[in-house]
Amino acid sequence: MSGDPFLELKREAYRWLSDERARAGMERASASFEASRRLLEGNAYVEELAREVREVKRRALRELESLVARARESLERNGAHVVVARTRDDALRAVGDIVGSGKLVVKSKSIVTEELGLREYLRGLGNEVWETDLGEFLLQISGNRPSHFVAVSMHLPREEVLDLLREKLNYRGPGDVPSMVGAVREFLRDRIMRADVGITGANAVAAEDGAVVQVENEGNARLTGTVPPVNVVVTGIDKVVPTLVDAFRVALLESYYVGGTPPTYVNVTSGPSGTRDVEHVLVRPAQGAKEMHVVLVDNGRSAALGTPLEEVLACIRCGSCQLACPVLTTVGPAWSSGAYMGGIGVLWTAITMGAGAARPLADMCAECRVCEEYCPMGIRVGLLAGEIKRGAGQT
Amino acid sequence: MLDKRSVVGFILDNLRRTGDPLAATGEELSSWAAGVPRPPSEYLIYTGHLYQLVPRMRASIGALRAIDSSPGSGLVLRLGRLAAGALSIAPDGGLSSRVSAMLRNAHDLLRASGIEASYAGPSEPYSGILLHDLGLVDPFREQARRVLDFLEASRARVVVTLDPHTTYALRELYPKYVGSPPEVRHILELVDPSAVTRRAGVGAEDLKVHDSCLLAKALGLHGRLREVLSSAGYRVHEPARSGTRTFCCGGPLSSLFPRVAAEISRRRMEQLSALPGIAVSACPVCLANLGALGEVMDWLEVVEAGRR
Repeated sequence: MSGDPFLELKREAYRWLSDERARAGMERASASFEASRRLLEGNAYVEELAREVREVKRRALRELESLVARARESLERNGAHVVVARTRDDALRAVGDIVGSGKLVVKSKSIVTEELGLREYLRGLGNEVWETDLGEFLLQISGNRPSHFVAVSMHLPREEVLDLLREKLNYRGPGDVPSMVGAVREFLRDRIMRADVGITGANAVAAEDGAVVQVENEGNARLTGTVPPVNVVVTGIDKVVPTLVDAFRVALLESYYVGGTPPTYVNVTSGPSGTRDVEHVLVRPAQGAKEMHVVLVDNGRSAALGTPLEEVLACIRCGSCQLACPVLTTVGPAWSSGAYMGGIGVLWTAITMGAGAARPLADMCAECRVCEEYCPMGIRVGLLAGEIKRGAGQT
Repeated sequence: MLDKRSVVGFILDNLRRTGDPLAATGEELSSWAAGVPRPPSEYLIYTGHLYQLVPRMRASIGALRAIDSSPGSGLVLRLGRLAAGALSIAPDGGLSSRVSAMLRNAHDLLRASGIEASYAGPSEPYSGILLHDLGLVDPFREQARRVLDFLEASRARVVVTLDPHTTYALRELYPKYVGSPPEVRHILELVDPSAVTRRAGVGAEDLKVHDSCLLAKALGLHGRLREVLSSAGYRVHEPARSGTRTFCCGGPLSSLFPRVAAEISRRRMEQLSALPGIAVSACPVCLANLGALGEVMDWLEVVEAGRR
């Protein structure tokens, strides 16, 4: 290691460029996503949805502190335990206190947990932890970093997936994609059914209703959040919006911008499972989780309010900008601070790790600003990344 | 593999020594302008050196890529400033002639549109845009001040720019960093489409346009470019990514990440290859990068003054 972050970034990018197989995977995935994205062209319903969500987020950021307090109050009223974690360490400690050690933990995909390094932390406490989203699972067993907010493993071609499954799961089936997905499904179902704790994320949190909304297509998040007796939701405070209707709008928009279609599942969780069917006496659990914990992570977000980075907090993590980026779709996960990649990743890195950590990454932004043309929230991604390159936010 | 300090050092050192980031000579910068009047005049052509630098950009892209690919580049890195010396690059003569013809054509197109413009010659300072793009705020501000003084001293009412990077620097960045220059107009805003025709010797009637990111996104001139090309008699074909959703040529990364830039250029050329005709851009940075991989012409090479 040279110790020079610029050279490390360059070396990683060049290593990626030399990996023909990985680049082929990225190009296949990019082409497929571009086709999905074209489904949105001229879709007045989605355009209107985007306009509404921009307004929702603008209002929410204006009163974020009070909305977070309101969300906490409403969730607690619904029976959830809530922690507002100021720092990364606070968040890790909060989840660690809930989970303890020696547990089997399953997780659905969550960028905030990547930001925290939660999986590694929980493993360090002596827990067995499994990602249940297929892409995240492949990253976990390969040791790779995500290359996109949603399609996290888009840089892994099927050939590499087959090699991975053979090596890590002792898979001996055929190399077609459905067979491989089937094998992972069996492996993960077994873990989900036996798990002590299920950790999920959120697309939005409704302050007024005290509800967490999450979209997904695989069905793993629904199982992860309901089958294990303890459900821990980990998400950023930027996800808090006023109402459940607002939260649905955010979740739907994210789904449309990722795949051009509505989500297969929209999960709404407002508290632990319970029933009052016998004499109206509340008994927990019924069929779902007995406990629900919500960890709302700040980690630099509230400090971004009132700064040029405030508009980044409106990001719904659809990754539309990332798929349009000529640089990210060329160098893949090389251009990343771990959880956050591409131009928007530069900005999220600045918020969660400081401008000093973001600046070397900003050197890789071409400032073509095409990302801004694809962002449903109108975030000036390229412009702000350029400002970080020129020293913005550094003391 | 070159570190950022070596690349930045090379550029700043050239600028200090020669007034140009790639050490272009006064002859290279101004030889195109034989017969073009000198200031003062109402309209002043300000090239910002960018078109003239295409041959040196092309050569430096190759040199930087070779250094980054060389197993011995660690030695180059350790030698620090010598690395910059090793990048002294010889421009391609053929490309230099092409660029000179483009610049002369720019002057002729303005004249055909009723604008008599002057050009200052070798005393014209560099715009500093590369310094800005590399994140070098103080050197950029210093260079911008130099340019602002030069433009004010010229007494021109309108500064005519020829490329999107220089236009963006003067129009958007200078006011933010040092102050506003006189009125800045990109040549596409001044050329009369009805005074333009297909250039003799261009073999094709079909053009596929590669939009420069800045021309489309920051200046909004992609529509005007098509208007001029269509008016000249060309059929214009659009790649899937065009206009404000264009796909970068890779140029902005060519000094710090030359191999990444080359791969982005390759991907763009592949997208363009699906369409008929000649690939055309309106940006010297795009021309230097994409043109290294195949036939790409500048709009100033495919049109000329004359009524259809």
